[in-house]
Amino acid sequence: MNNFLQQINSYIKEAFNAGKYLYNGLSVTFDHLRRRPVTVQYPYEKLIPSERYRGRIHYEFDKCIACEVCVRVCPINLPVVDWVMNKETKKKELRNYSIDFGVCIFCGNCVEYCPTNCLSMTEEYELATFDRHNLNFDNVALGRLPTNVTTDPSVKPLRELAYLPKGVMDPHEIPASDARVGKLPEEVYDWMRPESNENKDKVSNPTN
Amino acid sequence: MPLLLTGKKFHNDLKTNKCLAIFAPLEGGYETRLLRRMRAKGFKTFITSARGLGDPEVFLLKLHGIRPPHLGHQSVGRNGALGEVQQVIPQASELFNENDKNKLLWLLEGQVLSQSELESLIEICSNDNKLTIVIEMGGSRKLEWKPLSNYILDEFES
Repeated sequence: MNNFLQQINSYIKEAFNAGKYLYNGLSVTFDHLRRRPVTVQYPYEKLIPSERYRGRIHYEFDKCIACEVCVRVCPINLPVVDWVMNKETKKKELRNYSIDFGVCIFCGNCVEYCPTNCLSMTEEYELATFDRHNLNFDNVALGRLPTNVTTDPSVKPLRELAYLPKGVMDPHEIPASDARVGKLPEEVYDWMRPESNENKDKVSNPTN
Repeated sequence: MPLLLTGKKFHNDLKTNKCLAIFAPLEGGYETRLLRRMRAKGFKTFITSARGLGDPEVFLLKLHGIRPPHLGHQSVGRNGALGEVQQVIPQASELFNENDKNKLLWLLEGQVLSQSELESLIEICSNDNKLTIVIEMGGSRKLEWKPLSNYILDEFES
């Protein structure tokens, strides 16, 4: 009799534990049942790249002085600067400039060091081609204005997590007018700037 | 419906206008379907992306020089910075193997091209009566197209 009761006891315990473990295992699933997926449905929705995104490099031929600083700071000397020395004027004449984006690692060194700011990083990141040789952009291709995800009306641009309002995780149903969390540098400056003389005193003498 | 599309209207529009701006749904697949139908109608086709083209006319149709990157760290200076300029065949050269056939050049991502570059494409078409160009100018809910000249008028001159 005792043995039989023990068996029933352990059976109930096991059944209870099985239920508990099921619940434990699925609790994460249940936790997420009520929220919508935050996945970006790529060709129809695209994320707006962040402010300092390093996409395709934009190049302005007219500003370039053919100094080759970009070549020197590049980890693999990638930019090809085709210039000839004009003997009469003793000036360099730039004929062509090209960067191969199949090889570029988008480190941004060339942009950082360019003395005339003729190179800049853009937010263009869609660089798929049929042939890898098409990734060798010459100065005309590099000089085109970058495309961005907000120009095509059939694409829904979505904000990245850091640019959403406070506490919001899902970019899908946020109106564009909602401000991002935190202040932009110029907003911080406005907030810091004393408005009147009274405030100025306060800022300069915080102990008063 | 696009699976059942016969491409007849497209073919007629292509014949009359020679240069079309097309707006295709973002999931893609329309270009290859239409290309197949145009091949069945006796076109020779070539598809490529407009992004990364230098001067489109020269890169697509003429012998042009490219400066390939050297691979690996080289000496800095005249030799390190520039290898040789390589003359390469035009990218659309396979269209011109058979001269008696109609040719269809399909350019993806035409949004990157400027107004004058688009106008130069129209001019290429009007100079060569066998050559037609279709250029994708963006996404759309459903497949639609219009003559490239009309697109330029709507987009840039308004």
